[in-house]
Amino acid sequence: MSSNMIMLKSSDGASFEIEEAAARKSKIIANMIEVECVDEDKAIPLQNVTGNILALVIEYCNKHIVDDDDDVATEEASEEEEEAKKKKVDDWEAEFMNSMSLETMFELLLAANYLNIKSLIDLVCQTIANNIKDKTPEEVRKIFSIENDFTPEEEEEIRKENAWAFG
Amino acid sequence: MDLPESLMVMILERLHTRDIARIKLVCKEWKSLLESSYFRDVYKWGFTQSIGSCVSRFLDEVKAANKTSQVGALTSTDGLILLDMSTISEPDMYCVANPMLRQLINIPQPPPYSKTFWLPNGFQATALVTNKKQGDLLGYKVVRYDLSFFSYNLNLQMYSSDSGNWTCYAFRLERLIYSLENNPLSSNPINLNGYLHWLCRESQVLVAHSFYASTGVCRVIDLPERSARFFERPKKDYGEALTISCGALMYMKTDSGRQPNQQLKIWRLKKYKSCSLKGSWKLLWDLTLGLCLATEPVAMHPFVKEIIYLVTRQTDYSERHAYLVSGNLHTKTVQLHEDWKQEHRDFGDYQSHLFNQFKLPQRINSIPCPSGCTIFTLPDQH
Repeated sequence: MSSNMIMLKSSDGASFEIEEAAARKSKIIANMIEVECVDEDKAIPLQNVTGNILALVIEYCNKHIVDDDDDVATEEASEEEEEAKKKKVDDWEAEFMNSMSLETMFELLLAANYLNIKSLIDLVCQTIANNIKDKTPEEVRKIFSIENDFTPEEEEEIRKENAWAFG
Repeated sequence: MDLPESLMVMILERLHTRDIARIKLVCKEWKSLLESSYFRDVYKWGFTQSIGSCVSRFLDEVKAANKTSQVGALTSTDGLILLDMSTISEPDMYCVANPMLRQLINIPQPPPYSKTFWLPNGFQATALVTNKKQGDLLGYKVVRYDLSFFSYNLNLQMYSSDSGNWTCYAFRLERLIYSLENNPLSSNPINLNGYLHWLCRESQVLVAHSFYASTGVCRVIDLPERSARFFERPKKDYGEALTISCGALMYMKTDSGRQPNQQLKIWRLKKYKSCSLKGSWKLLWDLTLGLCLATEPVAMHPFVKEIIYLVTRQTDYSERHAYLVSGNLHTKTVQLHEDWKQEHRDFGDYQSHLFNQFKLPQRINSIPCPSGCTIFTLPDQH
């Protein structure tokens, strides 16, 4: 396993060192590495990602690259071990997302989308969707700080049309 | 902070229909996004492919797991499919499956019954009816019934997930169907609110029975526009369909008017009330389609009340195949989907399993498992 290190630079000028294997979680960076436009001593500038968000992205990538390594090392792992490992990752992901504000989740989603990290996009989308699930429109508005722009008449109309979903 | 629409859709597509319908009320921007054709196209219930192809792939896996080629999907409803696992040595074997969770439950073989003079042909058809509470699946019944019902009674045999047993029943029809057709119950019944609903095309009635209420009576409800003269055989020059939209049972009908003047009417079932025509149906839409093709109605969108699906009738243009047409009743726009087609001979009656993609569960629940049965889960393929 190569432990080449790559430098990433956030939009606000912070530099991060990351293992190549972890950075490859991002399709965009992986592509850059493939076409050899990564200069060994020069940091990759990421104009759309701030330092605090990039730190989160790197934390996620590092965590998942370690897990992938584990998989290779214990190829003969029993079903229970596999399950335990999966649970460990799920727990870690839940913890990781739990400490985040919605604002941060949005920024993280934008970054994951920009960097094209499929599993992180899925994780953040699902977490945000879970925040909406089973909530009333009022609660969703509050969570997302959205102003209600319907008139009471319009609201009544929509409520009537979708009465089956409010029961 | 605002997310681009594409990311917003990636989040919202993970929600269930009930949630989607409810959060239209959040603001105008969300409502228009959730009702956009873009969202409808993307909304695939957390699948990478559409439900239809997911089900057929699941069927292939079930066949492979059972080392048989004889697995047929009999019906699908509320995210469950009923599979026919019968073989020559083991007839009448059924399996209830949830393709999304990849779960299967083998139903015990029904006890044999004797053919009698009121049940000369045995049970020829099978249906699945579900019991749901606020979108959660609490139980289901596998119903085998007699297509012809020779008498006042609807004879059936039914397996309940609550009891885990098969029982025989005879439900009394509220009134006799003045039918000239041999098999009045030949249409695929629609499952909603614990009822099965059969469209009896020739006698122009809806037969409805609740499998979760303690009544032994089967409702017989006149369809709207049914001729008052009982023995007048209606001309078969119109198209009709039963479908579910926004949690209600809908009856769609197109007339034989010359294109582009074909009329479409849609009624909602208001009450399970027989005899009096006025109380049972509410006319929701009555409009001219303005299509240059003759069509038959098929289904409505489960949660967008303006979206309808039709198929083209056999004409010069669509001689061999029927094509899917989707329409928006509000904007009066229609779209022909040439990539979706079926050979005409494949549907005399539109089989519901062809339209899986339009009949989606509100929530994905594990299959209720009666005692004595085991849930099998197919391993993931990836």
